[in-house]
Amino acid sequence: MDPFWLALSHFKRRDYERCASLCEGLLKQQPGDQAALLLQCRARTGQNVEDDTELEEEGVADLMLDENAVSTKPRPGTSTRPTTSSAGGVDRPVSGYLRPGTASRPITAKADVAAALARPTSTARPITSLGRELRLGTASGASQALDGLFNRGRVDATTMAKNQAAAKVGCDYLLRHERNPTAALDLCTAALLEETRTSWWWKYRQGRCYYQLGLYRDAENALSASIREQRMVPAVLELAKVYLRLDQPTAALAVLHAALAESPDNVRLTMWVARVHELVRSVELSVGTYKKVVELDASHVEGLACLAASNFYAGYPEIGLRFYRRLLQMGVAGPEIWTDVGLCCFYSSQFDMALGCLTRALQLADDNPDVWYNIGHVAIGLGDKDFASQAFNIALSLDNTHAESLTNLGVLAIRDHDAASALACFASAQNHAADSSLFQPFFNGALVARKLGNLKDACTLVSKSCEINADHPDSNDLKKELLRIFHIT
Amino acid sequence: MAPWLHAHYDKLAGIRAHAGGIALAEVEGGEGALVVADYARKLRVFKGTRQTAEIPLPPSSEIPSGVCGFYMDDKKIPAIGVASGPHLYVFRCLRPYHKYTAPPVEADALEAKVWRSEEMSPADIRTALAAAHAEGAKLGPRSLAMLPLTSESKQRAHVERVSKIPTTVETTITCTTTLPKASEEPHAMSCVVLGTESRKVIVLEPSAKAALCEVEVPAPPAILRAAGCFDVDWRVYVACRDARVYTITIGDHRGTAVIRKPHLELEAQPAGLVVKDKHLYVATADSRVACYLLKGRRHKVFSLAMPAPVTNMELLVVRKARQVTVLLVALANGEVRVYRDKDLVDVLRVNEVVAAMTSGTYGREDNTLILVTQNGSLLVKMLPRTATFEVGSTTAKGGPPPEQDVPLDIPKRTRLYLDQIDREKANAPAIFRTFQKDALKLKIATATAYLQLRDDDTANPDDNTANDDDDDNNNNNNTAAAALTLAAKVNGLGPFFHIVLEVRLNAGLTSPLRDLPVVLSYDPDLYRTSRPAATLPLLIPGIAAHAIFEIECIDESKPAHPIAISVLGHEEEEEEEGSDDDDDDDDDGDDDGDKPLVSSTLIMPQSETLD
Repeated sequence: MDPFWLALSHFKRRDYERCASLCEGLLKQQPGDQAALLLQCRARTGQNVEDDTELEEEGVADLMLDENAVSTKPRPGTSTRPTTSSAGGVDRPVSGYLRPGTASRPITAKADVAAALARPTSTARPITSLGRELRLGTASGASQALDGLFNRGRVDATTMAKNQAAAKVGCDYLLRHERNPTAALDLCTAALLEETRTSWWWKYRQGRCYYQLGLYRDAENALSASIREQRMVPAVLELAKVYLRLDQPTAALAVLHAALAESPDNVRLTMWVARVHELVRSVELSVGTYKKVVELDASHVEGLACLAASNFYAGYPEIGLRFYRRLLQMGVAGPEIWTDVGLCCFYSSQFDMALGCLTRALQLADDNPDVWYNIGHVAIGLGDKDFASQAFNIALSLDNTHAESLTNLGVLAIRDHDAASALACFASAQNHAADSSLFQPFFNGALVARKLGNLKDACTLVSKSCEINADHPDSNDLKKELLRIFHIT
Repeated sequence: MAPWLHAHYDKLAGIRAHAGGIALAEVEGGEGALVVADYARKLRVFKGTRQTAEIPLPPSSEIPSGVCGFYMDDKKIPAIGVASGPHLYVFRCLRPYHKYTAPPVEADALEAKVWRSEEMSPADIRTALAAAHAEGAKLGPRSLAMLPLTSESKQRAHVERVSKIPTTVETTITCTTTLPKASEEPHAMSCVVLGTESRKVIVLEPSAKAALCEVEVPAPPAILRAAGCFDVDWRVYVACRDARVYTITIGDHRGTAVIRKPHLELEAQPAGLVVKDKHLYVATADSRVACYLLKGRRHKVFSLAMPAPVTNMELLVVRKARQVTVLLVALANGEVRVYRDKDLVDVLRVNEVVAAMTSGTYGREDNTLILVTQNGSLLVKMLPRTATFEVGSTTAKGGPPPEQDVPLDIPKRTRLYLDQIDREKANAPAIFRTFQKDALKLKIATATAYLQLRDDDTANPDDNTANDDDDDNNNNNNTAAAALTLAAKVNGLGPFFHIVLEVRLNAGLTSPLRDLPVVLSYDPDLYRTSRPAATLPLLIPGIAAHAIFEIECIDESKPAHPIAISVLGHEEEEEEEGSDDDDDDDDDGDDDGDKPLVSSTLIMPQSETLD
């Protein structure tokens, strides 16, 4: 059989690894074989495809190193940054960061990358998304010998841009496999000088290069130009992503709605509208849009998961349970889903199934602090303090910065009249909760300090709690009471 | 809209008086006047918008503590009593009439004997007094002044100076009130009631020449309020400086008085006291006004929190078609709050701190409120006839808060939920059994995992948090290790990192630890630091000690490598133990030396190249 034909066949079946090795063999025999070279490039690219349209976690370091900051003043409703006095206060965690859909979606090529990534993300330091790009590059580059074909030294971008088809393959290869946005950008610029007919494609790639380089304003220009020429969904999504990075959710929504007007039934666009709504904390709009997503695609994992979560937190665990069950039926099984099903069962009084689901979650992953944390919650629900504190302790042993568990342990210690260790628990929870929106350790610490007569500490802590969550009535009451004691009214 | 009429406001009245120092009383001619016992030792009388009289008190008198108007006999000639020092100066027709002096405090028997004996030398007097003092005798000021004098000459001078003064000590009147004698009619005879620093409550005859009866209360009285009629049945409520309210009432037969139990325990010092019908209102220094039942077991009816400390409290009786009694509470933030039972019906903003407040008839107007502020201005407010203190009729609404009527956001029950309920009803026993079984299983799984965790900790302490308290395997030396908590975090993006260590001695341990060494062990090909070891400062239970290490990643291309952090025990201590206690298990001691108290492995982040 002709090895090239075989390689093509492997490529079509998405068996990229074999395709690439066959091509490598071909290239050894005939180093000048352009077809084999291009096929190898495409195979390597295919190996490293990841969903660019996913939301990216914006790390703390990103916020710190962000030079594109527009305004630091709170802009409720038009910013994704959390505001202390949330206009349409959400009492549930925003699911945008730990999106169940992405976390458990079975993706072929991403799986091993994710495994490679797992170590660095669990370090004690937040990662930047740009750093992640680099690491993705090194992770994939380390495993395979560099082809070196598109090394900048060897191939001139201008010459390469002459052959459009090859240039497009090369561009994707540079972006996806080598993760060298600078070289890819050179190629895009060169190609844009050559080519005018499909320039939207090149502008789109240019935008992505800029985005990866962190040049969001340039990315915005390139992507807008691309969309003006030819409105394509990926380009629109990319532009929306850029706007979110610039913290302009309203602009992102405008772009998305313009695209939706043209193709109203596009799931991905609708999905993004929902995500943006969720990020700016307009829950009702977001849930409505998620409903539409699920109507359009009844097996949309993210849509189902978001609807399930919002139903659970809206006081309808039984409906949330339905959605989670649907996810399970679709084959999305992970410890998180089982935990969610278990919690839904527990809170909708389906006791015969609740604990079984949690046990199942434990069987799938007994090293997940969140699973143990939720078991601890169920234990509190059962009224078994020892059981609960054991579960929280296990969660802490798995992740010693788990502020929620520490807070709960503190509350349990209060119940045991052990104020000193309760205070210690709250103090370390406060340390770890400093950058999240967790106000409970501060409030509880203030309560204990108040009880012990340490009014000054109580006042400091409760002020911090009010800062984090201005809508918490108990914090406000306590603060008022303390200020009254100090006669600062 | 506030119902008050602003009748008169004199910013320059220059009145300096406290709550007991002003009163509304008839002076002459049947019209109500304001009498003020000013701190400037003057009795001032205000009528209408003017001050009509000003009578100085005798020059030897002290700052007045109270003023009250009463009737000495059936002739309906009003008299005014001004309490100052130990005396009650009585004025009739605005002329000094006579003076009543509160009984002086007799010196302690022992003390009196010492001073009376003339042959004793000053030194002997001092020794005798010291002995009496040691035995618990309450000495007067002259004896107390004697005690610290050591030099003979000074003692002699003191004795000579003091011997001419009688041993009895004059007391001071702290508060006054009046109590009707035979009937409660407007111009009937009334008695003045005095509270003194010598912890006495004295009811005087209407002529104010002698005491009708007197009672000793456990602490000096601060506020007096009277109710009833002396010849029939009466009560005097005494708020004392021991934060208690005592009730004094008629004794076994007429003319005697006893303290009636139970007394009222307050949570803070009293700031105001008012008797209204069957209730006693007490304002306390913790900005609260509490209402107690007068009858029975002194049951607390309610308690109101005020936005600021209470300065004064008064009753205002509004006599119209229906008699309404409202409670006026003056606050330190310049408000006067009007309560009807526990409902706030009006807030009067004075914008100055009210020093004294009284209500009653002024001129010919019945419902008048007199306010004297701290900077001496006089406000006269009158209540028009149309004013009603109806609950909910004014700005401040009474009754339950409006939130009570807002329905809670309870989610509607879904069809699905009802179906589930049906299922639960049908299979209740089976569900319960499964649940119990599952709960037990999960508990066992958790307990097993927890036990595993503890075992791992004791086997090798390579864990981020060392565990606390009750590890049975540990002997005494090791409890120190078990009580340490180590938390590490990495700051920085690389190649330079800061490792911040937080070491905490758990609160359960009482003895502090000192100078513990901390060591980092790392791959020298990958990291470099100028200081791989440090000594921790004094560790006090519950307070964290911090140590910061600067570390540099030399080779950024290599994957990050974990760094081991160990807190070691004391070497010297181990040696000492080894040499001193030969009975001690030697292996055990060595173990401690080898093993770190706490150790932890820190997963380092990949150094990030920013290009």
